[in-house]
Amino acid sequence: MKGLNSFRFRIATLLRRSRMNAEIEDELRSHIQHRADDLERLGLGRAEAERRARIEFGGYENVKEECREAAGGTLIESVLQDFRFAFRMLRKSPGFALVGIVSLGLGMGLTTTVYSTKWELISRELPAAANARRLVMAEKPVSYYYIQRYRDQKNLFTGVAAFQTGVPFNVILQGDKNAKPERVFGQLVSADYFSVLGVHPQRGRVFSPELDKPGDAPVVVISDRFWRGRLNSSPHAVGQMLRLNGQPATIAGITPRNFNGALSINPAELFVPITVPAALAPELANDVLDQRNAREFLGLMCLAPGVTIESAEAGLDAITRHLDELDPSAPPRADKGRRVTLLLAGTGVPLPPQLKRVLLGFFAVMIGLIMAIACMNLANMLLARGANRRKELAIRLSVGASRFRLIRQMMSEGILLSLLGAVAGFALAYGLGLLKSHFVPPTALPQESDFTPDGQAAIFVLAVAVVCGIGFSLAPALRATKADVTPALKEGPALHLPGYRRLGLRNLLMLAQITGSLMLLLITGFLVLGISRMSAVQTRFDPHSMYLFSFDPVREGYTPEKAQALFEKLPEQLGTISGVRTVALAAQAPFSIEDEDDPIQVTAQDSRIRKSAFEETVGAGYFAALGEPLLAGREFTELDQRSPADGSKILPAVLSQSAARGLFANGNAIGKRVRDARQSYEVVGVTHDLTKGIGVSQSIIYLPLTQHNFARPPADGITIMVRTDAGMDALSGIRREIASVDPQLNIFNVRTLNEELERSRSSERFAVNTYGGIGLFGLVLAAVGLAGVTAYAVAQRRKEIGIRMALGARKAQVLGLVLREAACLVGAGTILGFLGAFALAKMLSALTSVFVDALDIGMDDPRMLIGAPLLLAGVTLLACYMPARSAARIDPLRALREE
Amino acid sequence: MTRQAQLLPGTLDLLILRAVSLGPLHGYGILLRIGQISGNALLIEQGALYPGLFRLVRQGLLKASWGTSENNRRAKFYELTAAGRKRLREETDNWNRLASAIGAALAAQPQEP
Repeated sequence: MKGLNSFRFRIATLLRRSRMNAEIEDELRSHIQHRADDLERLGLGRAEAERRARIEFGGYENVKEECREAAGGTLIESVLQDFRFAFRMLRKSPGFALVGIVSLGLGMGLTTTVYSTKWELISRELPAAANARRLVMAEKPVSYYYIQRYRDQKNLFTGVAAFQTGVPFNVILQGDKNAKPERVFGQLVSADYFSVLGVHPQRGRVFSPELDKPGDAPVVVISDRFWRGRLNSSPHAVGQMLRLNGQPATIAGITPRNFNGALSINPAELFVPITVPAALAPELANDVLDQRNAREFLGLMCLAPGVTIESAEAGLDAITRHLDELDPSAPPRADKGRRVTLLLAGTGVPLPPQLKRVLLGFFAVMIGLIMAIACMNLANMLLARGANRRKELAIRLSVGASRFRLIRQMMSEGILLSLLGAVAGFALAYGLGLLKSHFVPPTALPQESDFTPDGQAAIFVLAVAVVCGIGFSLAPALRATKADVTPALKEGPALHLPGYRRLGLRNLLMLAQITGSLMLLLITGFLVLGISRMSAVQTRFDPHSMYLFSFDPVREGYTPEKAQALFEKLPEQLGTISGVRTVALAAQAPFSIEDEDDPIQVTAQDSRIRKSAFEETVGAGYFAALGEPLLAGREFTELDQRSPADGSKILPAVLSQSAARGLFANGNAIGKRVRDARQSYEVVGVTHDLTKGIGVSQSIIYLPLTQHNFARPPADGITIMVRTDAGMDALSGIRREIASVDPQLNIFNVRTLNEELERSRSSERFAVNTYGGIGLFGLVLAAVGLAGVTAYAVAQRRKEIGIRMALGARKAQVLGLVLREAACLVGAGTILGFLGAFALAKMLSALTSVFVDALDIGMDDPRMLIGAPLLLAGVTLLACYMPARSAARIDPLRALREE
Repeated sequence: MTRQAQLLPGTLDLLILRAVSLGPLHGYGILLRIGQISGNALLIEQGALYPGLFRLVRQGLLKASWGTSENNRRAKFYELTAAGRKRLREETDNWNRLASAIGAALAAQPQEP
């Protein structure tokens, strides 16, 4: 019965409310009629009397609402009332509402984008992985033997799996015999991988140590994305056969929706157990599972209950050290540093725990800064509006209206604006996400590119909207309804001359906003300049005349020996095509940008000087193909390419000029020995610095392609570079030649060098545009804010200005008066903004190496250091020039007569 | 010409109760009567009256009913309840006490040492 009762009560309340509304309306109307009657009696016409009576009455709606409130009602009713009222007020000032929604929309759009791209990436747990919270990963790969020893540590881990990610597979789905293989990226995983993660299949089964043993018929597990995208969600997928690198395999199961493997920033569509025969995956060749020092596998561990990541790290470190000592082939390492670093692996991007905290904090600060700038603008505008309504509010307060209620009313305006801004912002973020998804960064491995905001982001932006709405409307509401009402009531005819310039709340807000905007402008400016300066690539020939394409014969069924023979033959054969000038091979495209590349440490053997450098693996005649003359020595030859991979012969290496200078100062590098983590090399040549993507460090060490690379090509295959005479289209000739060698051979990624460079530049252009946009956003907001504040100040001081002009002040003096205040704010804000920007830049550089170089270049650029503050100052002063000019044009007589 | 005084919060309620105590009135009538009995020294802002009336009704000091005014129009008439009469008495006493105390303070001569 209770439910029915409360239902009836609610209906009754609703009915009562409309009845109450009608009653109030009647009563007030009756009042006006009576007043009109009296006026009529004094001699006015009926129409005129009614009009006068209505005017005398004043704020009709306000009174109605006060009555409603005084008569009582539920909380929901009054809150809804507030919002309806707020909506009406906003409708009355569309300009203010528009500016507010745009500012908030921009701010919240940016915030949502940062949230759904960066924050979610590092804080969202792997979907469908039950053990996500206890997952950790070793930072550096180890051998499978080590993984097995780690597994023995039952006190530390409930399970340890081994996996490799970013593994390319040539997949032919069943059906069309002559179908071209598709290149699919997946992971090689140990049989306990899924149980360590805690992932259960949506169909079929996943791997388990009992069911998947070496020698069994090969099975694979596919991801939901693979199933939907490539198999059209076929109900017969489980049990279907496909060809993997030329070998048959059966699909055993499908992983749940949204699961893309550990390290999901590089999504995996396919999971292959390491128990399959080596023919299926060149990564498993040469009994790699048994080799103690083949550091090929990443360890994924699930912490035992109660074990912290720190203690696990310490335990693992001790074990690894012990194992290293037992290993006869490992080079002696006397360093005392940590051997093992553990990363939290439960999210898309594994990170060490402190870095994760710092990054989350950084993004929170960034979001906070963006929203703060938008909110300060709003707060300022609301302060001005509140000041305009002081008289009305004072009256309402003096007759006993609850201050709380008035504040709530004013705040509901702010919150409504905020919510509208949130809707606009979400739409903006969605649009940006779609844009970003369309643009695919040029990386060898697929990168998770779906950045449209989802439900979680929507909740986030709503929460931000409410918090911000309360935040920026509280202070103005408090201000406007201050209990001291008498000055407000008296203000009418009186003059309010401030005795001295106080640094009011509004000015402080403005200062903060200018500072924030300049900081944003500077940082983004640094990044923009830095990125664009670094990416200029100059080739010695027309990039249109070089073709690049990729091969992966080993994954199409070639044996390593056959692959090597093919690669040796192909450049010769292609060279016979008319118009072809040079042909060379490489393990990556020239001038390529790979986000995942980390520089390695290269040590000069004799002097023990250590420098970091990027590693590129290139074939014979690489530099000749690029038209780059060597500065000293020679480049690689076919002989070098035939070097055995077992380390019995010292491999040659070519250094870039920066690397050579760094390692050997001014001495001759030729003939000297260097070593990296794996082996020693002898320097045979030195070349100019060729740009390598986003990275100031031009230090590059070039290693020769060897059997090892041919037997196990990298993720995007071996790249062949064919330079032709200018203007020639040799593509069809090339295809014919390759087909004549082997018609089944699949070449992919065919492009010209020009297209390759354009693709990499588009990534920078996008970054530049994004950062530029953010900086401009801050600038626009600051200008709008300052203009509004100045306009308001001018309106307030009309009387004062009128008097000054009446007493003889000239237009220029009035202009100066108004502008001076603005100029002070801009000046102070510039200084603070500079300090803030530099501090933030230093912090950023310390956090992520990606930004370091861009920021360094950008910060040294005088254009930025002088230009940015000038731009800000110019724009903001221009913005308040308009109101200042209207101040100078005030007619003193009119101003003095005004109430 | 008497000067118009500022109205302190809370005194409006007192005036309304007083005005109504002299006989049931509708809103406009209350306005007129307050002006009348104060010799036009107190003029209430029209819009401030009605919320006050509703408040007093909610507090149970007034009761309202619809009727016909002297102009033959429909209007809502207010009259005092028993509680309202009691409150009027109390508040009037308080006010008088306050007024005489302040008056005495303002009129006091400095004591001779």
